[in-house]
Amino acid sequence: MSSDLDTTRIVRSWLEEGVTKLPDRVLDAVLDELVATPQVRPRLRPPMPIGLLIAATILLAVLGGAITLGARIGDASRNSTPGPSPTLSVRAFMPLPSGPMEAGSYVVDGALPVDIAFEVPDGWFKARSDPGLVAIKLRSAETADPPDGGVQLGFSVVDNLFADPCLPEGPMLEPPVGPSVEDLAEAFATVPAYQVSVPTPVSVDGHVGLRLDLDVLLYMCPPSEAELWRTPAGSIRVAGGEEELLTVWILDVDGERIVITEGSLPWRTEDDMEALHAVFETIELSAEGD
Amino acid sequence: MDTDLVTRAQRGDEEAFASLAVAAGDRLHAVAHRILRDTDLAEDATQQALLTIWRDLPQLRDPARFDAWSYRLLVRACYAQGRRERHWAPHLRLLPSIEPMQADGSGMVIDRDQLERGFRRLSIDHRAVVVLHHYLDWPLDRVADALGIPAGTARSRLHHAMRGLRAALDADARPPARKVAQ
Repeated sequence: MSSDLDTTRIVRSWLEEGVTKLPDRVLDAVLDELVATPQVRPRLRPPMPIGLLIAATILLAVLGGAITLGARIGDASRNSTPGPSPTLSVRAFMPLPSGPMEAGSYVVDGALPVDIAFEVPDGWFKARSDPGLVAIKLRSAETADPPDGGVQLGFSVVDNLFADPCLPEGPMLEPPVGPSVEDLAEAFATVPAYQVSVPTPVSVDGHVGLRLDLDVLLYMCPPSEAELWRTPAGSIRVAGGEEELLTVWILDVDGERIVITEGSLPWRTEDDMEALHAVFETIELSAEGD
Repeated sequence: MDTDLVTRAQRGDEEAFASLAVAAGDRLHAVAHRILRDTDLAEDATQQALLTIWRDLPQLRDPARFDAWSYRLLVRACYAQGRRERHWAPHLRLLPSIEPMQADGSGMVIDRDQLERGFRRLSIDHRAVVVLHHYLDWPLDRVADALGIPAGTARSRLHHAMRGLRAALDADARPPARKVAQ
C-alpha cells in the first residue's frame, strides 16, 4: 500500500519526464495565423435600441433610394443606364419556418420580454422558436445533418432550473431560482451534473450581467439527455446526444433577465466557433417595443 | 511576464505577441503534454490556446494576470482536444497488467505504466489540477485562480485525482487474483 507521500513523490517524478519544448513549426503556424485572426475588442459603443436600429435602416434605405433617384436623374441627363438600388432589410425571425436562413439581419420580437436583433451570414439555420426560447444553429462542416451542427446560439428566459437534469420532467429547484442575475448564476452551481465556472462580470450590447461556462456532464445521465431549464411558458431547454459545452451570459436588459447561450458540441471546428462569435458580436438587445 | 509586452500585444502589436508566444510557448506546451499525454493533441492544444490568447487579449483587463489567464485558456483548449479524442477514438478497454512489482528497480517502469493508465482515467479538469499543482508547483489557491474555480473545488479535484492515482499504483502492487474453482 502506497502512502500519500509516496504517491506524491512518484507522481511528481513522473511528471518531470516528457517533452518541454514547443516545436518551432507550431510556433510558426501560430504566428502565420495572426493576420487571419482578428482580435476581439471589448464593446465600447453604447447600445442602439432596436427601434433606432430599424429607423436607421429605413433612413439608410430612404437615403439609398434618394441617392439612386439622384443618380437616375443625373444619369438620365447623360442618357446612361442606372445601376441597381441598394436593398437593406431587417427580417422578422419568428414567422420564419425552421431551416436555412438567408444571410442578413433578423429581429426576434414577441417570443421574449426583450427585442433581439442579430445578423447571420449564409450557413445558419433557424433551430427553435418557442415561447421564451429561440435558437439558431450553424451547419458544421463535419456533420451532414444541419440541425445537429457543432455550434448554436440561443436566447431564453429561465423560470427555474431542473433539480436533477437527468430525470425526464424531473423536479425543479426548490426554492425556485430568484429573480436576479446573481440568483440564476448561483443556482447553476447547485445542480449536479453541471460543472460550472466562477461567474465573471460581462457586458453585452451595453447590458451588464454575468458569464459562466457550463459543462453538462452527460455521462452522469444514462439516457444521454439532460433537461436544463424551463421557461415561464413551459418550454424546456434540453442538452442531449453528446456532451454540450455552454457559455452562458445572464444579462439584465432593462429589468428583464435574459440568458444567451453559446453552445458547442464535440465535433465543432474552430471555424464554427469563429462564426459563432461573429454572430454574437452583432447582437442588439432592447426592452420590448423600444 | 513583461506587462509592457502584454499591453503592446493587446493593441495588436504582432511582434510583441511573438515575443510573448516564444516566452510562454514552451511552458504552455509542457503543461498541455502532461495533461493530454499525447504529443499531437498537446501541439494542437497549444497552438489553439496561443491563437485564442491573441484573439481575446484585448479583453484581458489586468496585463499582470496574463500568466494565470493563459493557463486557463490552455486548459480549455486541452479540454476541447480531450473531447475530440474521446469522440473519435475507438472504444478500447485497457487490459489489467498482471506483471508483479519487481524488487530490482523495474518496479519504477511498472509505476509509470500504472500511473499512465490511472492518469488517463481522470477527467481533463482533474488532470489540470494535478499538473498545475505538482508539475508547476503552484499552491492550490493559485491553481484555483488560474482555472477560474473555487479553491475548495481545486482541493477536492486534487484529492480525488491523487486517490485515483494511488489506487492505480496499489493495484499494481497487489498479487494477481487466483482463480477459485466453484
